[in-house]
Amino acid sequence: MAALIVAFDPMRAAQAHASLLSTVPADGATIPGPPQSLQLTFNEPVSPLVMRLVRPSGQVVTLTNVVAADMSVTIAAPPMPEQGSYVLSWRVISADGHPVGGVVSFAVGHPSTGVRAPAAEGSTAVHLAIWAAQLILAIGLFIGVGGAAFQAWLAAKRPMPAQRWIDAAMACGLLAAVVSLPLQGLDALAQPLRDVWRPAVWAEGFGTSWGTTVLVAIATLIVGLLALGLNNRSMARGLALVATAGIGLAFAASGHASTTAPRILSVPAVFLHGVCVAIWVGSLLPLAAIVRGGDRIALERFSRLIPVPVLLLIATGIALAFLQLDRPDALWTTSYGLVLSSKLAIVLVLLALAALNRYVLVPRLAVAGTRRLVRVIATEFLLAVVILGIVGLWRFTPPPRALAAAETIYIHLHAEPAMAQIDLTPERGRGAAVSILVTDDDFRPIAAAKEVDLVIWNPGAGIEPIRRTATRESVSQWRISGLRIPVAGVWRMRVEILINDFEKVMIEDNVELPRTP
Amino acid sequence: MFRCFPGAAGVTVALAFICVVGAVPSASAHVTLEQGQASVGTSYRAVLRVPHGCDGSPTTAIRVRIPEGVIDVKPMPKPGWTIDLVKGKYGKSHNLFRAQVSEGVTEIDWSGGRLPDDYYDEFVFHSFLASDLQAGQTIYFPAVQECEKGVHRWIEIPSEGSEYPEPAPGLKLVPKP
Repeated sequence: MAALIVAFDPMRAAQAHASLLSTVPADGATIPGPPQSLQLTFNEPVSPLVMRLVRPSGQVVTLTNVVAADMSVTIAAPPMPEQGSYVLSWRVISADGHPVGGVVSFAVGHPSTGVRAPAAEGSTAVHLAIWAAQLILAIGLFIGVGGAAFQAWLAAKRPMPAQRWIDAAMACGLLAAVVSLPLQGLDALAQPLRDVWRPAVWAEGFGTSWGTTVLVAIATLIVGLLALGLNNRSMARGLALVATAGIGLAFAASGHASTTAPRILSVPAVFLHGVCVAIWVGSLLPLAAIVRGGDRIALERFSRLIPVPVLLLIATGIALAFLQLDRPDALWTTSYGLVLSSKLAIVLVLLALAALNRYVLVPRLAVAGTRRLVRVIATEFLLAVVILGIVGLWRFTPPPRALAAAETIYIHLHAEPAMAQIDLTPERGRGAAVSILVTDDDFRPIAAAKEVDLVIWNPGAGIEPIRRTATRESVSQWRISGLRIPVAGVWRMRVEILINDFEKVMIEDNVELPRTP
Repeated sequence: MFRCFPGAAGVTVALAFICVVGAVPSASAHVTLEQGQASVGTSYRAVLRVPHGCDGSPTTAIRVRIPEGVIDVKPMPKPGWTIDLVKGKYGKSHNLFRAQVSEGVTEIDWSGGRLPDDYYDEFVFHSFLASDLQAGQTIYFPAVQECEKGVHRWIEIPSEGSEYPEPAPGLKLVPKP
C-alpha cells in the first residue's frame, strides 16, 4: 500500500523506453475548437496499443482510427462538441516490445467549469424541448394526479366535474414523460435534436437519475388514471393516495434539491413539497368546476383541510431554499437564486389570493355568488402553471451549493517505512487541490524527503498513469494543485518519496476518487 | 514491468503474444546489468548498460550505489569520463578469500562525459560477491543517470510484484556451483 503523489511532467512517459516528445494539442493547452486529429510524437517508432478519450462529461470512448507513421502516432478525433477538459489516455509499444503509456490533457473552448450541469452552449432547441416536456409532465402530475386525488377524496357526486381535463392532463403527462428521456440523453451527450431517434441517446437518458424519475412518474400517472376511472370509492381513494406519494417520489429521485446534503433532510423535504403542491394545485381545477356547479359541501371540506398542506409547503420550501443557497445574496446574484426569487414572488401572490378565497370570498359565498370565487380560483390556477414553468428553468442552473467547493476526501496510504496522508479537495473548475503529509511509521515527518510524486491510473476505465510532482510547503507537507481526475471510480494511487539520490519509497493502494473536471 | 490491459479491444493472438513477450523482464529499455544472474562467492563483472539518455537529452553522469555484500569493487576506466569513488564502511565484515574486509567502495561516479541519446554505452566494474550473501535473493544496484537536461533515477526496488517505471538494476543470486 502506498501513497500516490501525482507529478505533472508533460513529456515524461510513465514507462521508460519510448519517450513522448511532443503532442498536438499540447499537454495542458486550451484550443478554441475541436481538433480534427490528435498527434503523439515519440523519440523512436512505436506501435499503438490502446487510445482512449475521456470527455468533459466523464464518458470514456476508445478511439479506433489510429495510424502510426515513423515516430508519430496520429489519431482521428471523434466528434467533440462539448467544451471543457478532455483527457487522451495513450498506450503504445516501443520498438523493443516494452509498452509505454500516459495521458495528455487539453481543453476545448475553456477548461471544464466543474459544475455538473449541462453546458450552457448546448443546443437551445434541445433545452427548449426539455423545458416543455418537463412542464407538461409537471402539469400531468400536479394537475392531473392531484386532481384525481381531489376527486377521489373530496368530491361528493359523480360524474366528477372537470374529469375530462384531468384525464387529458395525465395522458399528456405520460407522453411528455416518455419523450423527456431521449431529450435528457441528447443533452447529456451534447447532440442535436435530430439525433433523438438513436438508441444510444435513449439509453443515456435512461441511465441518468432522470430515468428513475420518469419511471416513477409513468407509474404514478397510470395509477392516477386508474383512480379516476374506478367506480369503487375506497379503491379509488387508495390508488389516489399511492399516486400522490408517487409524485413526491418522482421528484425526490432526481434533481438538485434531493441531492443536497444533508440528504436525510432534503429528500423528505422534496417529497413533502411535491405532495403538497399536488394537493393544492391539483385541487384548483376541480374546485372551480365544483363551485360553479354549486357543491358547497366539497368546498367547505376543502377550505377546512387546505391550510395544512399549504403550511407544509411553505415550511419545506424554506428548508430547501436554505439548504441550496449558501448565502442570502445568492438570491439575486446567481441564476439559480433569480429563478427562486421569481418563484417566491409569484408564490406570495398565490398565497394572497388563496387567503382572499378562504377568509373573504368563501364565507360570503351565499351572499356574493360564485362568479368572483371561480375567477380567483382560475387566476390561482394560471399562476400555478406559471410557477411550474419558472421552476422548470432550474434544470439549467446549478444551485449555489454545487458551485461551492465540494467536500474533501481523506486518503491514508501505508507501507513499511513510510505513510502518506492525502487530503484531496475538489475545486470547482480547477481540478483538485491535493495536500500530502509524508511521515515515517511513527508519524514523524520525513524531513529528508527531497521529492514527492503522485501517480494515479485507472485500470478499470483504461486510463494510463497521470503523474504530478508535488511542491514542498513545509517539512513534511507537500502540495499539488489542479489535479483533474477525468472519471470517478476506483483508481490505483502511488506516492513516490525520494529520500536520497539512491533511495525511493513507493506506497501504493486502490482509492475511490470522485470526478474532478 | 508490463501491464496488459484486460480491456484492450480485440485481443488478438498477436497482441497476446506481444503481452507475453513484453512480460519477460526486458532489459533493453532501462539502465540494467548485462548479467542479471550470478553465483554467490564468485567474482562478478558488472556491466551497466545505458541505452538511452533522459527523454532525448545526452547522459553526462552515471552514479551507482554498491549494495551490501558486493566487495572488492574496481571500476574500469573509460576514456572521456572521470571516475570518482566513494568509500565507506560496510555493514559487516566479509570474507574475501582468506582476508576479512570491512570497508570499501560504496558508490562509483562516472562523470564529465557526454553520451548522446542516439548512442549506447556500457559502464563496467569488477567486483566479488561475498559468500555470506544469500542465494535466491535479488540485490539491487540503484543507479542515477544524470543528463544535460534532467535526471533519471533507476532506484525503484520492486515489492510484492508491483511494476515500477524506473526499477533499479537487479542481480539475482544463485548458489555457488
